[in-house]
Amino acid sequence: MDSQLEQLDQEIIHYLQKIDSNLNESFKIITQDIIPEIRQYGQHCDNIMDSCQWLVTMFEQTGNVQLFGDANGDGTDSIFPGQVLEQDANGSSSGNLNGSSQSNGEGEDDDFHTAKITTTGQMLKLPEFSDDDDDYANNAGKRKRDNEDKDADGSSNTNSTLQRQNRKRKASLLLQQQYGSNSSSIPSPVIQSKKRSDTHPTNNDESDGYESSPLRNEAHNSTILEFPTAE
Amino acid sequence: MENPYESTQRNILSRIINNMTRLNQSVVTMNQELKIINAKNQQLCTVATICDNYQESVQFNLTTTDQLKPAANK
Repeated sequence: MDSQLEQLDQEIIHYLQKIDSNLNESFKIITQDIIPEIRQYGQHCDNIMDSCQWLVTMFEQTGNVQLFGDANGDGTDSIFPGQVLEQDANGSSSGNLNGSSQSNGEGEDDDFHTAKITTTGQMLKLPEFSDDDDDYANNAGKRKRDNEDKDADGSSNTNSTLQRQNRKRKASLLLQQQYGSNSSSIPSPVIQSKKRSDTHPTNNDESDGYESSPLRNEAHNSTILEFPTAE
Repeated sequence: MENPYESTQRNILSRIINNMTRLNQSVVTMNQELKIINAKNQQLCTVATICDNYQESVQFNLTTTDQLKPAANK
């Protein structure tokens, strides 16, 4: 009887270790193989879209309509709201034939407007809050420096707005993988609240609509984390 | 008497939970990427449909006005 129990226990341990190693392996495969491939695919899709931009402009001006005003919002609204605004602004200006013809001045303007997004893709500050402009300006400078570093690193054609936004998103994903942080589309409430409390010490939770969700407050108080997978 | 395997199992279980959490996050990240790419490809699809329709209407117009000529051989 005892020997049987012991054997069962050992089997259980063996299977648990198997499960563990399998999970580890699947995590590695996803982060090291699949996600880079997906990113590359997205890059190619961006290139295709950039190349077809003249068709979009032509049809838009021919039919006097705006084709992708809503589609941009649907795709990236929940993750990068600032960039969506920027995309809409670029899309509504009918003078641009394609994204690669935009000047560097517009690019810097772009940096300034998207500065409320940190490099981890988290929203630092809603646009309507105007009480801490110093943090805003600091973050803008930081982001500009980051982008200059990124530009110096490699990629040659840096003028397209889409590509710039794509690189920002990718940098955030890289950071996430490197530090194993929890900043995904549904960022970890604890880290988010820590980050927000670090960067905005004057904000309290009652006055901040963004953190007034009961889920966030619960997670902030207790140590149990829930990772919703509503995707 | 305490089972000597229990602590080992508990450790492995906690590791499994950690791994599961990480895996979940990476899957969520992957889903976001795919979602964004999907939105972009939707635009591409729209452009392709418009081009298709444009080609059809050009074909129809040229045919009905008898102006359709065979493509020039290079």
